[in-house]
Amino acid sequence: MPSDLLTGVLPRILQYLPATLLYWIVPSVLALFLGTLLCVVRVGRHNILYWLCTVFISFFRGTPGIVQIYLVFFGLPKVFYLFGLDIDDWDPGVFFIIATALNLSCFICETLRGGYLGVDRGQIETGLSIGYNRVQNFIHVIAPQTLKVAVLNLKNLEIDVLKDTSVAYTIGAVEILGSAKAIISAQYGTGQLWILGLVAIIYFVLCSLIEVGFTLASHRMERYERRYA
Amino acid sequence: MTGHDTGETVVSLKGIRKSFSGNEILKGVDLEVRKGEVLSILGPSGSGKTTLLRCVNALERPDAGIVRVDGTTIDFSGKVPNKQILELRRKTAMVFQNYNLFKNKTVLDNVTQGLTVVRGVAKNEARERALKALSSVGMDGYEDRYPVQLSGGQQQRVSIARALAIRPDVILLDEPTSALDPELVSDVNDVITKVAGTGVTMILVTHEIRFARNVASRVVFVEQGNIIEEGTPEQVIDNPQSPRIKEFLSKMMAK
Repeated sequence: MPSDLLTGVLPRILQYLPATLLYWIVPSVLALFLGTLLCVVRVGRHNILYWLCTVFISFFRGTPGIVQIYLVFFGLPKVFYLFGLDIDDWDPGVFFIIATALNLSCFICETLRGGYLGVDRGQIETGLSIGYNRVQNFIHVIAPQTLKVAVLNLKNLEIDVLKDTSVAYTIGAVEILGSAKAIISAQYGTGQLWILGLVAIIYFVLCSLIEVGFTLASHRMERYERRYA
Repeated sequence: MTGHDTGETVVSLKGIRKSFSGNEILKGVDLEVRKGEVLSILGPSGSGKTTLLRCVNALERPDAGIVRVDGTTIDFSGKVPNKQILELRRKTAMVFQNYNLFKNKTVLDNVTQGLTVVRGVAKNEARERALKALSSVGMDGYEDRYPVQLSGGQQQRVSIARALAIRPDVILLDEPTSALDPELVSDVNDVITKVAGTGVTMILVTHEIRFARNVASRVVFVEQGNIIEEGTPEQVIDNPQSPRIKEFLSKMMAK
């Protein structure tokens, strides 16, 4: 074991923990919002908007995430340039966040849609029958019951997103793995396995925390299903 | 016979038509319900009686026809604004075959939702009204339970309390005992009879002829999307004119 693994390397890597968390949390929040909107369209009438969303989703589901990241990283500045805007100096992390948010929103949409379709129609009708408007019915009946069905799959998605932040360094957005790679190459590969092992442990701890958080949340959501309180 | 018929019309349906994928379920039904009346809708499966009931609160939107509840009139032949539908629903309450209590809410919250969220009643007052309604259906002490912890009969009684608490102009009951274990049916029927006795207007779709005979002040018999006979329980159930009703009743009573 390199003598400075825990005293020198670890603190340097952990400096980039906020970057990793940022690349995880910002796309997650954006995608939850966008995915919900997509879901609302996808469970509604089959109008033009529905088909647009369907194509959007099948594109992001049917192409590799890394390709999407490259497309956004290299393509978005060109699109902006057409409108006379120069975004070449944006931080690479911004492109990573945009690409991840778009990709994740499609998966969240489909996860929520599965949850929504799993909600008993009678519950929704009852909400209408007591006079809820659409928003009230969404807040009090549809959203909580959809989330309860969807929460397990959301957990899997969020764990995947956290792990996938490790590809951000390929477009120069430095996070935990990126900083580790930089340290490794600065040392000409010495202690490579130790450093990568350390990185693996950091990811594992983070994923475990997500796991615990979601498990607590789903227990709370399921409290009304326990027969004996 | 119960009910407190006052002569004033609370619910009126005119020329209600409804098709499902080309299949006409309701063929221009007219129906009036007076305040305090307990109207029972009888008829064979698939006759359209549940669809008719669901047209009253627009859970099914008629293809054509006029629905009026209290002062709210909606002509479904034209475009109907959502606002009017909401207004209609806020004057009615429904008791479903499968109880449909909100699974994610306690008994108390199930009953107060329609008051606090929909009608802006203050929390304390809503709680008081809910407790009173729960007590009137014999469900005191169950406020903090979740629906899954109750028997079917208890859930249905809570759902009746939920309907009562909002003091609607009419309560719509859609086969309220069909999903219950036989031994629990009489509990719920007793509650419905008791409520009927307090002068609440009700429309009851049911397969239980004997119960309809006891609780209803008026009975309509629906077949193939039309009301084919209408009158007091004595007229329609004891002395039906149509041979079709006689046949239906003899089958039902034989059970």
